[in-house]
Amino acid sequence: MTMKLLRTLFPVLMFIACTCVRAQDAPKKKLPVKLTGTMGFTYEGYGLHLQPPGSNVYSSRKPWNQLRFIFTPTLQAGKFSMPINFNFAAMANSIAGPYAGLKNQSVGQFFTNPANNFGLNPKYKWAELQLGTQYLKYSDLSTGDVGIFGAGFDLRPKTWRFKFFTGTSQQGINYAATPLPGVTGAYKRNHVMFSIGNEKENKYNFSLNFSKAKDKVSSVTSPPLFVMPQEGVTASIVADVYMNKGWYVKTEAAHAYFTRDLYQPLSPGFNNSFKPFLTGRTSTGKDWAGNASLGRKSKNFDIAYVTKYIGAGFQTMGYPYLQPDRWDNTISTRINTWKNKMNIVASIGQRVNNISNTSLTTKQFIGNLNWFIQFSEKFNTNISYNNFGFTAASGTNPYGLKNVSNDLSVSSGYNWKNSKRMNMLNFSWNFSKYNERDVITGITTSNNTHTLLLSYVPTYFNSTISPDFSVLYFNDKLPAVKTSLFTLSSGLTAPVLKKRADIRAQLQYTIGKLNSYSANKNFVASFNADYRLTKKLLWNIFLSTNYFKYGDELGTPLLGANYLESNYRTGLLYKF
Amino acid sequence: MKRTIILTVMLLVIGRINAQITTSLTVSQPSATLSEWSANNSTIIYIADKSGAVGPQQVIIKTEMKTLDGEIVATKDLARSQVYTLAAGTRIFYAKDVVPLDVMTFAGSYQNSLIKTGQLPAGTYQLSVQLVEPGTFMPLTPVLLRTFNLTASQLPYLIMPVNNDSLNAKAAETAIIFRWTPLIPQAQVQPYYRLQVFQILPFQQPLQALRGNQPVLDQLLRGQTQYIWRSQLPFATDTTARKFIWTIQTLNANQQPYIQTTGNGESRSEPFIFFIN
Repeated sequence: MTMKLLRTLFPVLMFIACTCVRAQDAPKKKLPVKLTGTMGFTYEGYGLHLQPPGSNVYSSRKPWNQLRFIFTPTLQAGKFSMPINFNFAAMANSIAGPYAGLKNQSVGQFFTNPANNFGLNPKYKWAELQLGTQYLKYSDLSTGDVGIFGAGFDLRPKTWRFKFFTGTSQQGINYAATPLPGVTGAYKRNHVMFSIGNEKENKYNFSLNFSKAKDKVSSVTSPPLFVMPQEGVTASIVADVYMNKGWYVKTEAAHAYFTRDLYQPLSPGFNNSFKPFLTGRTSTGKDWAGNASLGRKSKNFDIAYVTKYIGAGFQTMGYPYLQPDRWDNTISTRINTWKNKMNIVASIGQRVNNISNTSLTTKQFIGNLNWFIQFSEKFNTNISYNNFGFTAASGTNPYGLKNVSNDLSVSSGYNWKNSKRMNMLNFSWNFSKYNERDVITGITTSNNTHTLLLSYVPTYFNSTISPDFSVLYFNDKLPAVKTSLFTLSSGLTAPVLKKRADIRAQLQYTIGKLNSYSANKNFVASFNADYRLTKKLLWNIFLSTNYFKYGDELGTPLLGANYLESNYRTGLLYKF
Repeated sequence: MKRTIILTVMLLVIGRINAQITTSLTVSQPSATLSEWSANNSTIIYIADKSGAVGPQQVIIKTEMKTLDGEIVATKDLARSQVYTLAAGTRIFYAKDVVPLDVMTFAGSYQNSLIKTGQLPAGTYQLSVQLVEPGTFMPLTPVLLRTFNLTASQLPYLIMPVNNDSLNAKAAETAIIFRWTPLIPQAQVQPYYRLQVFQILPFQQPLQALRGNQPVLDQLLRGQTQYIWRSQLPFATDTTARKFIWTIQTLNANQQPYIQTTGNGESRSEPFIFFIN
């Protein structure tokens, strides 16, 4: 079904584009209609050969074949414009989300598959129609993460904002156990959302946002085993004010009603309905969330305090992966000083979970620092440090959990030149420490990782060839496990074919060692070429091969096991 | 006289209990989200075995939930409870019969917690169940009492690479370290963590890549909260491989999503993005 659709759809798109482009290319006539953008396709092939065959020592990580199309022109005629965003894949390959495992799509499933995008946004002055696939962000707590196929508008007369959209983010997909790995299945999910607001850029922004989504229980004949039909309504108020000297205050408060399972009975005595939008069930929760930030932005100095509270029962269909039951507080800053030769970006914060007291209380401390100094034209250094501490109450275990991650990186660059070439030398060292306490024994295990990287890049003044060389040493130690990796790599970039093509190639060889096992070996070769067939038409070729041979770490039956992975990609991109 | 009547009634009741219906109750690891109980038949199993020559008998299941201190958490509204007809033989009742939330009445603060989160405050509770006669609510069987613990699970939070981190391409070609916090509270049977990394193609939104692409890393790990990925990807030459999204899916011993009805239903943690430069 999908392939038939593609065979019909793509020639039509090509015809439209070519017609418009030809009209536009007609000499010396200024046409009222202007078409700019890109179109093209990419074919990607993947191969994996395992030795011994069928040994499962390695899994494929790309589809065997994939064809992707891109068609993103913008039609402009006076004050009317119409950006088109069509990008789609011929084959479905979802592993996560509602389309997981689905291979044979219906037309409806193809159009709403998250891998595909069919969006049209005709716009005249302040009025915009939104048709097809849209990723609309109304606010941080209402809706913004999910692509929805449907129709709506975004009107912006003067300072007013009126937004509305309705559509489907996923079609009904029947659960199937076979062929393996099976199809997870999903209920059809319909969305409706609107926003009313008033905004003046760099002055203020007030808006009232509303979003609702509901799964259609009857949309599948073979219901998913582990996914329940859900329904959710979220309303939020946003108030942002921007003041003099870069000061600002941003706030949002949201309230959500969320039904976890539409199969559960109604609950008239629970006071958890939000009529007429949602009728409460025994699986319906209602909770609120809020965030606020106060800060100042300027050219060389930023400071901000951000607080975010997500109630344990707060769930919104517009951000399906949002983790609830937490309160985050963060202070962050950015400083440019020393005539812009020193930049510091830092933040410190704490997250507390289990505000609702339904779980174990956990605390997370998060600190980050990035410090860059340009000592001279020749020498610079960057230091970054990340700390993450996590503690949890012991519950029924003898000890509470305590995980601490510390990550320190120092990298320096030095360059010098002579009459023939410019030389760039980069050195970086990373130390990563991860302590983890066992909740039964109370023993803390420490994982220490060192990474050393040295790179050298010469740039020749009388040659267009630019090589690079690097060497890397990686060492990770746990009480009973020691992993070391040693990598040599060299690359080359050069313009060829009278500078009509740019090529890049790289060879990489890694020796890996686990404890006292014999070393494993890995060789990766890759090549990329961008060839300008005409001023507007680009042909891309990418080839890579990855050979990995295990040592004796897999045991005697798999002695000599290896795999060869190949990836080849080619595509045409036309800019008009 | 009064004593004689009470004793007679009690003897009659006990006689009926002993002679006609025997019951048993099992409560096993109930989910912290109460609405999930009814979807899982193994959460509560209440078996009534009716013997004797007496014909079919109508019964109501009377249920109470208490704290260990004896504070009433919830009681079943018997007037609105379903009446079951027991014929001779064994009948099995599940959570949807024993604790139907739509006819349970929860005490003040517990009601608030339930409406807000779908869960009760973490702690140890007692469930008491018995069969009573419709109308009179006279007991037909002894009260069976079981103790259980409720603690909501918190999915892992991603630690590193931190959100929007920028990784050195040369170093990332050899190894990238992923870390995350464990499932809280720690389960008796170690959960599986499914680490997935998706490449965000140049024209894709992050969540579009997560839900539409095949992951470049899909690794199942038991209990461990760190993984060193030897990416074996040529970032220096592949200019499309610049942006990635990663997440952890927490699975139970049967490799099914650990938390199924809250959030995304897939038990996936809030994803992070990292860049290669």
